Amino acid sequence: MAVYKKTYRPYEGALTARWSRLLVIPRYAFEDLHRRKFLTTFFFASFLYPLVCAIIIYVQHNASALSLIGAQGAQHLISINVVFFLSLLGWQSMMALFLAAFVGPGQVSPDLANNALALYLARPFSRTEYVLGKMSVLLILLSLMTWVPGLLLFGLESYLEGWSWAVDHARIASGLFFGAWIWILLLALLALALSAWVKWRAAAGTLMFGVFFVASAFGAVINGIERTNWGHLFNISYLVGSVWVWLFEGGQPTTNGAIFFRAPRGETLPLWTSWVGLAALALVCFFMLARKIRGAEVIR
Amino acid sequence: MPENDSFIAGMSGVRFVRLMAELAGLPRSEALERAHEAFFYVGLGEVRYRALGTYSLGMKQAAKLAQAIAHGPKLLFLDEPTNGLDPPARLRMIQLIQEIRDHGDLHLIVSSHLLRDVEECCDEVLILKDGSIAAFCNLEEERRANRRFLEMETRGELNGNFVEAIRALGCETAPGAQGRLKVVLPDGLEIRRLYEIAAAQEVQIRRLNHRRDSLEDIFLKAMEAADGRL
Repeated sequence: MAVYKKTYRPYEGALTARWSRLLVIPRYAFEDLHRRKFLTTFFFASFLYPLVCAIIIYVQHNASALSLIGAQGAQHLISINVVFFLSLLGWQSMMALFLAAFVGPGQVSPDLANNALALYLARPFSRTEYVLGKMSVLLILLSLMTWVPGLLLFGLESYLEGWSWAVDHARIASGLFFGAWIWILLLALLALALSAWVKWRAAAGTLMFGVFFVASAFGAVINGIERTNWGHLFNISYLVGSVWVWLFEGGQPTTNGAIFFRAPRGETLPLWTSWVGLAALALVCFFMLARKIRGAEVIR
Repeated sequence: MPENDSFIAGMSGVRFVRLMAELAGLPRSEALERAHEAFFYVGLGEVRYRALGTYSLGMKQAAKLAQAIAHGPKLLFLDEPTNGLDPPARLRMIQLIQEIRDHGDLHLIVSSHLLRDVEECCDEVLILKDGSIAAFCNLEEERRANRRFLEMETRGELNGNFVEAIRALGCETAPGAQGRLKVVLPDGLEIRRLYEIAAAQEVQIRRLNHRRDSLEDIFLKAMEAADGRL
């Protein structure tokens, strides 16, 4: 089948390992994303906040730098504590939502729009591998935006403050890691599920914001009308925020969440309801994906 | 190769085929090389960098064939491969399928309601009705059997001696009206012998045809219900 011969020839070369074929999907997706200049710019711009945080941590531990700018007492203005890292996670997670809304809808919908999914699944490639491959694009990008810079900053602070600080505040590191993973898994699932159901990319992206903002507004209306706090179950940022607080501080919280992910004081729900709410949302996403990610419709 | 459109509209043809080849297990460089080869092979070499969404229907069919063969499969399913193609494109597609069948180390399964395409591409035919096998035949055997079945027209009333004489040669016969006669030749008997006997019996053979039991006849027979309706 050489180009100049124009004849068919069977393939007799080596095949790649079955597990490695999963990585083909993110590689192609990253090539596509790289061509979209806006997304590349947005992705790199999202590291501004962690960069500022890194400068703050560095300057706070560097007396000569502080005296150079004439701010000897400035280290007392900002404390490197739970609030500092929760704010970082909150801000980065909001950036992650925007990125997921831009990137996510383009993952599955082009494959479904013209029935290309059947060709993926006609190969030795399962539905699970397909979903994992597509999801890994978002998981990698969102990880780089959330827990990776968070843990790097935690490492920097530990290095400058001393390793005893790291041991004393190990819960912050685990909170950053697991808290970010809860958020990015939820975002990835929601983005893929919406992408699978809404073929128009722009509509799917808008719907992602809708799920977060309209649902929380709906919850606030329920709270207002019924004079209850249970409407917060529709508020995803509330659910995530309350879980984060527990992950960062355990049962004795000193804060009520992070920026954009705050639970209003006096309006708290039992923690288990937040876990159940998030699990229910994940299950709905799984169900939506399972309904749509099929090679062929089987009618019995 | 599915019947319906199956492509990623915004992706170039060669990149799409390369992606599919990589998912089938080809290494990156091999997948790229074979994607280009497959595109040239199906006649789309000049448009391989164009987005698939801009292809015509015939080009999309060819691109689907390219993605199906790029990784050199051992078993190839083609579902209505000539669907929506104009006559030259259909001819080209049939030629490609025949070439793949003849040159490749692969088994080919063509699903089609266009029986002529099936006759041209396949050795064996399986006819399904309501999800069950209604008929299975080897086309070459059918053709061979057809060659032994003759329909003959003789002048005037059939001479009884002529019929007896050809029966003596081992032929099965079924006389009809107005000198018509159906004959099944035994193995090894040449048609020339019938003419010799006819000459000896002074019977004129005015017409002699091989039965042409096409795939369509086989299909119609298989689809026929017990009461004779389709």
